[in-house]
Amino acid sequence: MTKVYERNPLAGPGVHVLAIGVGDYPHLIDGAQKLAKMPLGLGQLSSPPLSLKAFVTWCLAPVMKAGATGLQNDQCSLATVEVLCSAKGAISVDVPGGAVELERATRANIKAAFTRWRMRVCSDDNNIGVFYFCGHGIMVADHYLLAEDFGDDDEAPWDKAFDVSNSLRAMERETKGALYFLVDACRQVSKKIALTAGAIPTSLMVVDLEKAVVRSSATLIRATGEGKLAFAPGGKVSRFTDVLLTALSGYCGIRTSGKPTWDVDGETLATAVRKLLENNNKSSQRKQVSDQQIGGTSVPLLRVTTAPMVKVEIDLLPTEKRAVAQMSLTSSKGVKFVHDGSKGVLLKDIPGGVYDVSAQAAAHEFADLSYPEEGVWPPVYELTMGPAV
Amino acid sequence: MSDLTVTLNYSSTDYTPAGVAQQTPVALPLKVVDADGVVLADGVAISSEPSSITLPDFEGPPFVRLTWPSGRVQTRRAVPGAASTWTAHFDDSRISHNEWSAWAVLRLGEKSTFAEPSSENDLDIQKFDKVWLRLWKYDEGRWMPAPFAPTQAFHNRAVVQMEFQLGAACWLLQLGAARVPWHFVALPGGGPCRVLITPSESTDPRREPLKVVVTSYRRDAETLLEFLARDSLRAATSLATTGPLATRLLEEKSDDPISAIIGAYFLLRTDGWRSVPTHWFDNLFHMFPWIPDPAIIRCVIALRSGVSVGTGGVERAVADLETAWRRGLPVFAEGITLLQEAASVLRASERAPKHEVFESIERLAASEAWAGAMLSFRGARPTIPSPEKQLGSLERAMDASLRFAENQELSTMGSAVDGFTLLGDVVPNFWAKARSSSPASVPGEKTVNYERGPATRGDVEAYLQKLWEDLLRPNSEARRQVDQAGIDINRLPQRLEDAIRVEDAVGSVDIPGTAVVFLAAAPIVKKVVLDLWKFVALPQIRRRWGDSALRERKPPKTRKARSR
Repeated sequence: MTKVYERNPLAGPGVHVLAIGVGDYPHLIDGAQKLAKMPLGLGQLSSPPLSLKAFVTWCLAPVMKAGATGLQNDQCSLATVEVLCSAKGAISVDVPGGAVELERATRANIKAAFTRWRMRVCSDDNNIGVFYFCGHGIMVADHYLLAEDFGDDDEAPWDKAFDVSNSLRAMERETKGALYFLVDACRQVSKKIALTAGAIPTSLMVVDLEKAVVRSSATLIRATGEGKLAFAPGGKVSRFTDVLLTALSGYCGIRTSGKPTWDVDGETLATAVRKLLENNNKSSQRKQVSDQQIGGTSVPLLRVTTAPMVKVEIDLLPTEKRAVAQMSLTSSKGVKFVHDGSKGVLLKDIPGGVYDVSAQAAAHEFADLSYPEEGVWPPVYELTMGPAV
Repeated sequence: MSDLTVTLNYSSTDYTPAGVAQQTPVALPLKVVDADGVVLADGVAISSEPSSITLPDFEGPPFVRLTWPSGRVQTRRAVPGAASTWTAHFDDSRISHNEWSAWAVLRLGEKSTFAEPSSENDLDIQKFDKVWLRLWKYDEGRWMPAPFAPTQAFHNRAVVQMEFQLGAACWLLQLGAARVPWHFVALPGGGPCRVLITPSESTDPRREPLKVVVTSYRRDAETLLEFLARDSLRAATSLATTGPLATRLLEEKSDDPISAIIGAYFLLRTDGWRSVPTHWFDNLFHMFPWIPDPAIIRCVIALRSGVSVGTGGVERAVADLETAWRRGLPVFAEGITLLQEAASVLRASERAPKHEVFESIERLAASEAWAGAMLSFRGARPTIPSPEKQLGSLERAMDASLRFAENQELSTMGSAVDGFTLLGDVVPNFWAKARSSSPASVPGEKTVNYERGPATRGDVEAYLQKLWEDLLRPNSEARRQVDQAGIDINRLPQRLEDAIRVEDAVGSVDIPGTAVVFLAAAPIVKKVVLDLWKFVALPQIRRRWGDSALRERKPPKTRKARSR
């Protein structure tokens, strides 16, 4: 059992996290054990242990150090974190009591951890359940994820995978709280192969047809990256988890008048993740687009007191003009950010709001460019100034 | 407290063709925010009337953020008026387009160049003239090709737009080409429908090369659905709970099934279905038996409510799912998501009877393509969705269709190759310039010119029309002659106009003769049509009007310049 954190006292609404990372697949290509009869062209992944650690570290940051950026919610604080991870070597995470070595993410361990997590999530009607997975996945009509021991039994090739779509549907009938399923798994197997191979993995919990859907809200955000390179560049945190953590670390949120906090619910988070991924796609050959499914009423995962920031990118074309330009953003409250165009494109993180954007030539080489009242909203704002716009 | 009035003048999006009685107004969700982006109020801007929004106390000027279904946001600073009042006005001055296609700009991509008046896009629809189109109708439990007959067609450099009048049934538009994956987009039946096709500007790796946007003139309800398709529930909720749309979506007795279905989909997404009496969904199911969506909705509501095992509840849910499948295909993408949800939980349950419809639905869901709120999926035929990309020209598509018909031993004459149209033929004058090398003919057509004689063009047309009618009758003389000539009738197009066209042939001395044009078709089809003409039609015509009827006109011989 690798419950790495439990709030003290545990009673009351809280966020319960189950995080799973699978990078070591012994029965897939280049694995340490007998190759599966049907490896589906899948091999070992270096990213999931790193991505998992990054995610768990972010969740625990505020309990490790007060005020740190992480899972903050004054009405529903972090209650428990359980983690499973399969990597080439032993993996541990730092928790308030010291480092904890993690249990491996076999199908049996995942099933057992899911059952424990379900019971914790169902313990209070205002709880929030967060399920995070990083590893191999197959998207057919539903989404199937592969546990570490996938392929150990050639007679039952799909036994060590699980149906995360129906696992969510089952949970929707168990808890009155909110559910966040964050699935960082690429689609490396063609749907045709998956269909012909009769892929029908079971879910981690059977959907009880007699039970009504009672959850308050459900958010499913999928990475749906196509291809290993796009998904896990050079043994780093995956692109999806990277933008997910960026979004959660102060680049999205909505505050309504009269409320003290900026709230991040499923819709806000999914939108920010999608836009940040799109922004990353500009510099990547392999495009990756996230996918989401949101239902029910809004239940924020985060409630933070600081306003979200915006990644601003302003260019001026042609570049000869930019080289002699002074670019600026002036907020409707009069706060001004100035950038010397000779240093290149304006890249800056600023608070969201309405800004006047402008560019002036140092020695009147061109007429002033002005873009009044531009909405600069999280997570990303892009503008290319110049005659073509 | 203060009051804000928001006006929306998007008059350029109002264009409707003759025959469309009315369309609902444009409605777009908005947020009123302060300078820091704190949300002061949510609301909706409607093109038909100013919207009044009450604001709480705040500092500084309020800003209004208007969101298009594409995700694009327009921001305006509100202008102070008399005591405690503000106004904000949005217009369409930033939309660059033809009047007839302006409606679609709101639904094209967030970064669409159509929404930037001063930027020239380099989109060229003429590159797609070889894209083939086919219209499918679900009729008496079968998907059949339907005549491709738009009532109007428009074009500009970047866009082709067509208007259809569709009967109360499920309809699919199929597109494909050598570089355009074969895919379907659902069209709403039961009234007028407009389809816009333009090269995709999206960078989304899932995109198709062509973007297809569809409207049935329910602009506000369709906008709501577009937001649902993008999981923008806040925007969808603003639209569904404010203004005239809120009332229309949940009318007790609606004569507009499409709006009612959109309303039901919204309720299912936001859990609002629990507060609506069950009989409202039952009425929808019974009132519109020609659409599968109400059956899907009823099935999912039953499953989300919890079904009683042992008292027939599960069996009823399965029956609703089967009914949905029997009624055709859902109009909207939301329908696939719900179909899949229902099929998946039923299939996984040991308490539900196994049914072949589960696998069919799974295959459809795995083949889903992206066309905004409309249902879209890949495949060669509506009944065989395919998760794999299939590519191929018109001829390949026709041959595939023929092979399918042969394998299935379909006996209906010609249905296998009916209804194919090239995008370039939808607005032929537009492409004529691009085809300056052969302006009078479509690639693949074969024209035979005949001298003026006893049989006029009208005689030939009338004869062929009757021949086609006779061929449809199993024991007719025409069928006997065709059988005798060894012609496979199943390979003939069902409609004469898909096989042969008769027109005036103008010769070098301007004496009109008769030209018989064998239309573009798969080689195997064209050979059958040519055989029919050569061995059945032409001999019959000459028997009736004399041997001099339809003498082939040979091209004039050119004289070489004599050397001196």
